Amino acid sequence: MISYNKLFNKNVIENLEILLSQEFRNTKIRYDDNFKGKSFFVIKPQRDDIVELRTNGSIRQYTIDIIYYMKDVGVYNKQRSLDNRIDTVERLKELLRTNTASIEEFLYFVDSDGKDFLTSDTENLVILKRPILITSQEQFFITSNGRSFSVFPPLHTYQWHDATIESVNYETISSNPSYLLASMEFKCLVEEVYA
Amino acid sequence: MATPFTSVLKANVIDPLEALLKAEFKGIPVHHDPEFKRRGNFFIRLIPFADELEVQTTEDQLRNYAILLRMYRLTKGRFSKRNNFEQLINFSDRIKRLVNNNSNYKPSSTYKWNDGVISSINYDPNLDDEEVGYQVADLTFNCNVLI
Repeated sequence: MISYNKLFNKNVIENLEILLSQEFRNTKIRYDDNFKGKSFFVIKPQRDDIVELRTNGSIRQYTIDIIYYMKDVGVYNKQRSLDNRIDTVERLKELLRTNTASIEEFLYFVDSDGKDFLTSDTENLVILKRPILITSQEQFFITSNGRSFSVFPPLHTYQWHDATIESVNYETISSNPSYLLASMEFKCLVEEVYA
Repeated sequence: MATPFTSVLKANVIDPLEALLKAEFKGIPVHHDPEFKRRGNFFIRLIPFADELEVQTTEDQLRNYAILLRMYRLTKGRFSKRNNFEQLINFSDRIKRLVNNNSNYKPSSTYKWNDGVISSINYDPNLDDEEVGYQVADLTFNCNVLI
């Protein structure tokens, strides 16, 4: 079996899912047409196209439909039927604008037993008094076994670049009449270098 | 007297591509049905759809061939878990890398093609009524063959 990178799943879908779930904490992410809940996102992988072919790698463009469903019953006034969708879409556009290139910084620690752990939120961790650590947002980590820690230089992982919501469609017809929807076309580029 | 010829599409593209797939994915069924037929839970259809002249010289031709690899995965019930998508997408990524690793393909030093690539993948193709119930991904394979 050849070795390969699960780029679409790992770099694109998982990363997008993390961004969505961190930003919209009360909105579920689904991968089917099962209508459940007050509001939810549906992620539908669409395309994977070659942009540039190199001797030892490639750049590919990935396209995903993100559909935001919002349950709405009763009178469809402007505020109920449109505003929430617009707010969600605009927030998502801004979220991706600030994450147009997703290069994550991990801080890397090793304890005295050689066990390591990572933080994925790019916060700085300061060792106050072993084994208590505090993040730049004043979140504490306390270990109970008195181990000391060594801090390693941060690791950087590349996920994608040129990520954007290319188009938004506030659709008037939904496959479920109880739900209103806004569908967005998400595109990003991923550069792969073959090992 | 009939003109002697070689079926380039078959000998240089379809047969080696099928052999490449079968060597990498042991036991995977590869079919050539022009119309859809139910062939099990997981299978690939190879559908040639383009053969275009790239360069013409007095002695040679460089032609670009395009083959559609239509991949089927039978899913039962609703696609409620991400795992349903993951397998098909990972499978596609593996085929992409397989083709990239063999972009200039010369098994046993016998030239088959050059510039082989999976140029596009469509995860949401139009389906016939009979195909509903399968997850389907369309992978477009392109290569050049010097004849």
